Amino acid sequence: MAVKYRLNTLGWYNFEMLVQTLLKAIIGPGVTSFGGTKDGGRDATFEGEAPFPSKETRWKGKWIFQVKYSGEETGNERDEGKWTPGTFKREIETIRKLRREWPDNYVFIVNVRLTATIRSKLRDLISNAGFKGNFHCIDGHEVCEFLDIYPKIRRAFPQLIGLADIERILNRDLYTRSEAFVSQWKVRLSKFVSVNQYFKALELIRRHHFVVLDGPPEAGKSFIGAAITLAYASEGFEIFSIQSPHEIFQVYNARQKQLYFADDAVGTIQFDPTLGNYWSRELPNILYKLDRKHKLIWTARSYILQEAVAETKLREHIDDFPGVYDVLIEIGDFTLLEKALILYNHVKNSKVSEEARELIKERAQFICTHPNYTPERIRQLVEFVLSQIEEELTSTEKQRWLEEIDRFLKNPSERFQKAYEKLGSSEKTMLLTILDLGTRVEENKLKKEYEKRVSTISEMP
Amino acid sequence: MYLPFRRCLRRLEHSFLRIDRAYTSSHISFQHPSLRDMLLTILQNNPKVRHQYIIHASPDGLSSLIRGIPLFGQIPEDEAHMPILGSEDELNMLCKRIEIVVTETIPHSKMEKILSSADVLIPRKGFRKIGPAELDLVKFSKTPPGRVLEATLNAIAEQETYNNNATYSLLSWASILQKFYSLVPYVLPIPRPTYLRLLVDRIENADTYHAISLAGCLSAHEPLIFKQVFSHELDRKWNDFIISRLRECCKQSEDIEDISYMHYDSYEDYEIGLSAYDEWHDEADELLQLADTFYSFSGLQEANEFSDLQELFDTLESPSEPLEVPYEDYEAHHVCKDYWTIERLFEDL
Repeated sequence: MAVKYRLNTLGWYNFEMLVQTLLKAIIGPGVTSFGGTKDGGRDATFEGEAPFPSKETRWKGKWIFQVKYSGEETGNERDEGKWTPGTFKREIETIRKLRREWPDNYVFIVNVRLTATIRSKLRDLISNAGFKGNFHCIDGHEVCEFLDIYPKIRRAFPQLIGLADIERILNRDLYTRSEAFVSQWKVRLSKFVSVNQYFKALELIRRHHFVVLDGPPEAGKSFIGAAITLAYASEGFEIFSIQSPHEIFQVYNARQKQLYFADDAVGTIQFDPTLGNYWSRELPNILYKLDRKHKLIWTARSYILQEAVAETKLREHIDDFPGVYDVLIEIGDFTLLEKALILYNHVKNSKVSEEARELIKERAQFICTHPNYTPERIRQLVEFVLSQIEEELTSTEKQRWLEEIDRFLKNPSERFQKAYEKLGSSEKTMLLTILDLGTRVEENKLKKEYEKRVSTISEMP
Repeated sequence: MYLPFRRCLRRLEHSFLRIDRAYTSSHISFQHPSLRDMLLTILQNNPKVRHQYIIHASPDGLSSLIRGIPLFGQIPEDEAHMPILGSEDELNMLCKRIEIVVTETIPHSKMEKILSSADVLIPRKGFRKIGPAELDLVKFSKTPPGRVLEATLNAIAEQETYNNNATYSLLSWASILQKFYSLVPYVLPIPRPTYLRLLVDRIENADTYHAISLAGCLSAHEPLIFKQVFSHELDRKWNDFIISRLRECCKQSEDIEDISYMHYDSYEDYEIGLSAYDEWHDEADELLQLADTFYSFSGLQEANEFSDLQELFDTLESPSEPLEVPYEDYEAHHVCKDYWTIERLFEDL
């Protein structure tokens, strides 16, 4: 039976980070980071006493934690522990070689489910190797149980949030937009990377109940905002995807836990003066309503936010509250490792071919250090370019695809522009109609406008 | 031949467009805002596409075009975030389109949006708008911003605009007219709405809040009409209304005072208190603004209840949350970065 949260989609790095966080919560803050050794063994240590493996028992002394990650999840119980005993045996030998003495407590953590037979085998292996202390296995199933006990750790890994968590969210009315919001983002959530700005934003929203995610286009503002929103949703917050401040007053309920998400709060690609004025008028009234149970997230492109502050009375609120700038997170300055993780997550959670994956491995360093790197570009690279790479490429084809990846990064809009040129008059008319009508157009309205236009247009570009 | 709507939509879904389907309606948007940026670039580089865009522009599209006018004829260094016009023909097309759209029946919010966009046409020094007395208005009227501003305000002033949008509430008209009058000093000759009398005729039967808002606007900008229409009797009637509302609100604030200073042990009780405070606060805020507007134009002496309520509004604070439960947060703890190179990270891909 598969584990509850899709741990197999995390990748080794993220799984290790998750285990590290859990151990600090379960054992104590003294657990060291998982260290690398020359041959690749991964372990962390602790010295002291802790309530483990249950609250009633307390182990003490020197501890070693070893984590192993498998990307396989066949769903077949027979397969789940298949790889482990051999790997485990090598791990024990590594420990014996590198450490002068056995620890008092040895904990082995793995992301897949372990059967009773496998557990017994592991116990025999370590006992035969001469270990006399306490031994325990934490398998994927138990990792999921810990995640259930510590919902706030789940918040640090929103990509683990399950469909069951999300579908608890309101399905009612104003709510059709929020429902669309959930449908749109839940599919993409598995690709999320908990970057530094995500944690800063979490802390700000915890403290001030308001956070503004500011940054250049394609930096990932909406995705981070959505991840925070869905993390809160999994803890029972009602979420509302709002387009103007008045909607907050419509839905506000002092007794209910609510989170309001205003994506592109003051305009999508340019400053919308009406929205800007609404917000600057209503923000003081909204801000004092925010508390532990009522949270607000804004996203905005930097140049739009600057214009909004300059052109409206938002500037007056900067000196109060904490003002807008005190709750501002600038998205876009990712570390190399974060960029690599974003690329990794997108590829891992996509259906691209093995050949495509190999190409990415080959070009990962180049892609992550490219001056045009943005999270959105990576998403498009995986979705629109890599998805077309078939299995079994010749060396010429491989070279062509490598050049195609380079070309895409240099000028990503070129591909869309070429695709646009190939469109028929109808499609071009529809796209320009949507550009004209605004950010998010109701289907009937678009139909009416489209039909009006095609009935009067005599010639198209 | 153009494709039927649904077939066209299906072709674009997943590539350019995203469709969010819900129980009662569906909404369509671009897969990502950067696709809008790309289309703007196409618009910028292709006059034919741009012409089509202008002649079919909706109120939202017009707002966008108007906001691009200060950059008329320029080629932006970075990406354009709005369409930028480049020729006399296009300017004429835009002015014509403004006249057509503004005089049609459009939602009040769209009318406001067009007017708010017209605000950027006023020249600035830094963030400060240059006053009309500091400008050569004759010269300004010949510039693209001056011409578009004139076209917009003339259209708003047309009788047809009122006839096609007579269903707007007086409050909405007051809001539109406030914006209109803030821009009108920059245009020569100064346009005047031809339908003011029709608006004023509605006052007697209108909601008092709306009526007072409109009266406030007219007293500031159309003093002659105001003098002709607003009698002492009307002022007394409104004053009585306001005083009675102020008294009621002041009375409610006695309970609010208790709520404000109470120490709450349980979150449930706090929420009940907060809910009551919110309601009072919102009502008091609206009432004080209304009273302020009224006393400004009526010349009547402010009722004592006005300053009483103002004091209460300024001093009574929202109830305090009960003591916070210690917060446990588990930030993800980063692993050993020396170990995690890009190569190693992608090993299990």
